[in-house]
Amino acid sequence: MATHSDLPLLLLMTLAKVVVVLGVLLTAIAYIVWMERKVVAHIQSRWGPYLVGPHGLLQPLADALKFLFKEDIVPDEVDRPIFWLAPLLAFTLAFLSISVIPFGESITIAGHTIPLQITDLNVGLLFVLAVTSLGVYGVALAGWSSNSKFPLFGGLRSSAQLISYELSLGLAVVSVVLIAGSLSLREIVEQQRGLWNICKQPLGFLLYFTAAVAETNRTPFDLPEAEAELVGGYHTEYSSFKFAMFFMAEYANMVTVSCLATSLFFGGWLGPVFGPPLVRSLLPVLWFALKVLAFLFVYIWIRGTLPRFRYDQLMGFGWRVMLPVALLNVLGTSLIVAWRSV
Amino acid sequence: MTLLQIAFFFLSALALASAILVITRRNAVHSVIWLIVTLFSVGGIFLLLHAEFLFAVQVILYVGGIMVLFLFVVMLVNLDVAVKQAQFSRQWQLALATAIILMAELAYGIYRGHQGFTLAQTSAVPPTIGNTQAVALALYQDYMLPVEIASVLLLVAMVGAVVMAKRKLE
Amino acid sequence: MSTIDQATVTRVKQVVAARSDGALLSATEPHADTLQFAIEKAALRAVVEGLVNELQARFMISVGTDRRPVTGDFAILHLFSLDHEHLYVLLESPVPEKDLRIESITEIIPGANWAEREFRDAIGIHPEGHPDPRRLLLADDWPEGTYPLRRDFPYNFQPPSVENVRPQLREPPAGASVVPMGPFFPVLEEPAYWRLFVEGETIVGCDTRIFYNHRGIEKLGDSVLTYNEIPYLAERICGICGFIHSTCYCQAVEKAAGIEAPRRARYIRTIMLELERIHSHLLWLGIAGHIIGFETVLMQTWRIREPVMWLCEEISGNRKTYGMNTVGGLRRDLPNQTKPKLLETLAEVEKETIAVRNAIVGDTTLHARTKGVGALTNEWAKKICAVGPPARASGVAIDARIDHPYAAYDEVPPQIATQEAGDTWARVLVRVGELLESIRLVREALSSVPDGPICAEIKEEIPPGRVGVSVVEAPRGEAVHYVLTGGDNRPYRWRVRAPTYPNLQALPAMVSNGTIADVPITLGSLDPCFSCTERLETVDRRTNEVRVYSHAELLEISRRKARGGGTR
Repeated sequence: MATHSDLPLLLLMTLAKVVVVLGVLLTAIAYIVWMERKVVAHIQSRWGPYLVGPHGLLQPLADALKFLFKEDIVPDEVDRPIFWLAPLLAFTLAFLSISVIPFGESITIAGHTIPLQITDLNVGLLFVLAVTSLGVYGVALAGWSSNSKFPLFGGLRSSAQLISYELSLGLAVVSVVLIAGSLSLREIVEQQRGLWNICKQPLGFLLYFTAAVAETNRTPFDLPEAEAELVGGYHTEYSSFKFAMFFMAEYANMVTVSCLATSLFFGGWLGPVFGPPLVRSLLPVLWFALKVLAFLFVYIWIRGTLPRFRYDQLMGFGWRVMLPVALLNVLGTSLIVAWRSV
Repeated sequence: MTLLQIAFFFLSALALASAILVITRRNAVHSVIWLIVTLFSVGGIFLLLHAEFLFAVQVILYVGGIMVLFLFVVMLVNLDVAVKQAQFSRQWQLALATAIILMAELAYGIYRGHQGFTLAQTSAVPPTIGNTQAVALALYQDYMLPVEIASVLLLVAMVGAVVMAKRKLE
Repeated sequence: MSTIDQATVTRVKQVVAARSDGALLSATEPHADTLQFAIEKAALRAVVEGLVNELQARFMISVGTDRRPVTGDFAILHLFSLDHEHLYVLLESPVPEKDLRIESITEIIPGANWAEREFRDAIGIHPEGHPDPRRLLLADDWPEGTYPLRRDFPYNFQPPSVENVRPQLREPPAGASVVPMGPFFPVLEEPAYWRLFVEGETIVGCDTRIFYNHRGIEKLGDSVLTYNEIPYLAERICGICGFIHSTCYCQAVEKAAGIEAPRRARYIRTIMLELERIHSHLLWLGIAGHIIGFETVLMQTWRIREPVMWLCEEISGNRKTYGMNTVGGLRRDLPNQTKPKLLETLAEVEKETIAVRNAIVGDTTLHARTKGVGALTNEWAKKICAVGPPARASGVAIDARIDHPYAAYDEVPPQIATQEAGDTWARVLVRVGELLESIRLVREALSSVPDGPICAEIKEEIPPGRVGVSVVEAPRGEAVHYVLTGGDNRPYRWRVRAPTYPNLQALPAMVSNGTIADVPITLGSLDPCFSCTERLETVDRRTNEVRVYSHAELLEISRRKARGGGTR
């Protein structure tokens, strides 16, 4: 907690960090889309984007421009305020949870030590869970406000899916919290110096990752937008930049859950550190980024390999398999933790 | 007025205003959204009191869980019919009067009791033990029995709901 | 030609004679495999009943003909196939102009539903006692009493649009709501409108409105085109398996006129037909993958398919719509130097297809998405007269290549692949099996193509009044072409029945009690093929009024929009 004299400096620093993180995140999202198109293309023996810039590297820019200049269609009889609110919610919430993710240890500039994290809440993990649990509003409200059947179906399905898988996700996280004894992400990462949590919680990780795929509406759980049955799902009626906001939110969510997976199970920024002070303080950021990138790659890989589940299969899996296994995992973990502390 | 006070008054006003909007909106989905705003404002007040854990729980449980279920049901309501129906029951004047009387009583009690009992003080510095830990100690040590009774009651309610839903299916 | 058992012929004649009870006008044998009976219309229903119940005849299609310039009346012709006896049975009834009614046979054969509605729309003969006598073929804004397939209806006549019409749609049962699928829907590449009646996510019924884009191809064939112009139009009936239509048409004319296509032409037709099946099935496999969200299958199968398209281009000059068929044979020969390349490509395609098959056969998610989904029972498949892979996946062992051998299939017979389950997975297995079988067939046909001419010399004009029925086993099932020859180097009546026509009628039963999520893949598993759009119909949400835009109007709207004027 800062004292009063520090306040302006602290605010400035936080602002700077927010700007940097947002900028990096937005660029990252643009290039994750590019990476996704490229990786999936190569899985499918295609070239992927190739025309805009070398190897299609400027494709994200072209896409963004296209989104900006497309006609923004608002159908008759939509609930206008909510129709506007929904993409904003989805977008904001997706970018909010990144604020408690620690992406490095700390950096010292001109005598000031700056932790590489926008804010270190002592309930950071709960904050992320809270924000993710709000993500459902963007989808549900978009579906409802469009005043059309397919978005409504998509919105309903999606809400049900998000609520169901949130439970397993939360329980998987709880097992990590039990081991760490803290809700602060920084502390959880610090505690993995000896051994990454993946070794202590392999089942927890599997649960977390599966639930995270469902939470981000990715293949094979991308039912809310299963175009074969629901046209565009909840964003059927959205176009132009409002659609782009949903689109970016989806990828931002992917980044968030990957960051969280890295912090919770794969030691966050931890990794071999060497060299001069500046390199020493920046290397962790590199390790962190690499781990997150690996997760994103797995996401894309899955999309290239699996067909979509059917809705009832998805819900059945969530409630009949994931949830009981997650509960057992928490029970087992807490028993071990309790036995050790006696 | 300190920054904290400004924030407190702002959040309180927001909570009250949105609560009024909840009951005056004709569109049930709009009501749900205003209710969410109310819950958020209350959560914000928790945050001002350094009760981050309570804030997180408020958001996860109420906003992220219960209200989503509300919205879920409300989304399926036929709005065209809902809009035509009477919004308030016939006794709304009576209810309003009762509410005003109750509020006056409360205000009088607080005003009169100002010296009689001390209002809880918000501490400027966070307590030594973590917020989460404090809540946990209170719930599972000091008030263990009530908590357990409450949880058993909830379980009964849940089982009851499942049984009723099942019977309807058959 | 496979041998036809004379005992069966006699038996058919007996059944028809017994059931028609003296109303039999004539019994002829236009061809060795075709029996034609003319029956008074009062006895038609009874004879149909006899054929179906006693001989297990399979209904193929009905043809309504306006014979007024020739005999002064109309005629309704029901086409049947006795598959295992290799026979066609044609039941014809004259319908006088003053009493344009005929007894409906839909109650006996549910699969005759659309066929009867179609001749009602096109010729104006009313099927009496039809369970669902709504408009099928014509646009919603066409005036009543306009029958485009009548001879006095000019082929280019555009009747004035009727104002204030409503689409003839069925209302959902009480308690159910409607989920629309179509007319434009992401996984339906072509326009068709399915109204799914759902309770929750469970489908309790379904209504269909298709033929949004009827192109009047039969009318053109009956009026302005000559025998040898039609193959090119026929080939354009389908954008994927066009060659089957031109082949089927040419065979029908050849049969009617008694022309024998040379062996070499028949072999090359076989090769092209099988190549078409290979690329069509690969295309289907990809689309099926796409429908269930398995994009990698789509991309991979379409990549595998591409060399087959190149082969077709090398042989015919076109990737699609080869333009090779002509009455009496072919216009283009198979160059001998392409043979090694063909074999090489086939080997590659076979290797990759087997790899894809092995990859999907073991995929548990695919099983979960397709097993038990969209089941078509054996009984209903027969009743609704399903054809092709959907029929074979339901244990109905019919294949036109074996039942009514054409081209060179008498010398290179295929192995028929059937499954019993009748679900989507069974249809996948049938098609994958056929794919590999087709590769084998092309190889075999290639190794035994005889030398010789590719087209028969036709010296005389084709005589009028002859009948020819031909079937071709298209990738999607059996296609039927019926030709009645006329004078002036033109057919008098040309009737086409594409394989999707009967299969689509099976869909309502297949999706019933399923979930919405299963509808696309169930529909997709029929490999449906409607055709391409040429007009747009809008329904005003507030008044339910229909407005059909013509091509010219659409053009005008789009130009106005392009100039920045907006549409409102």
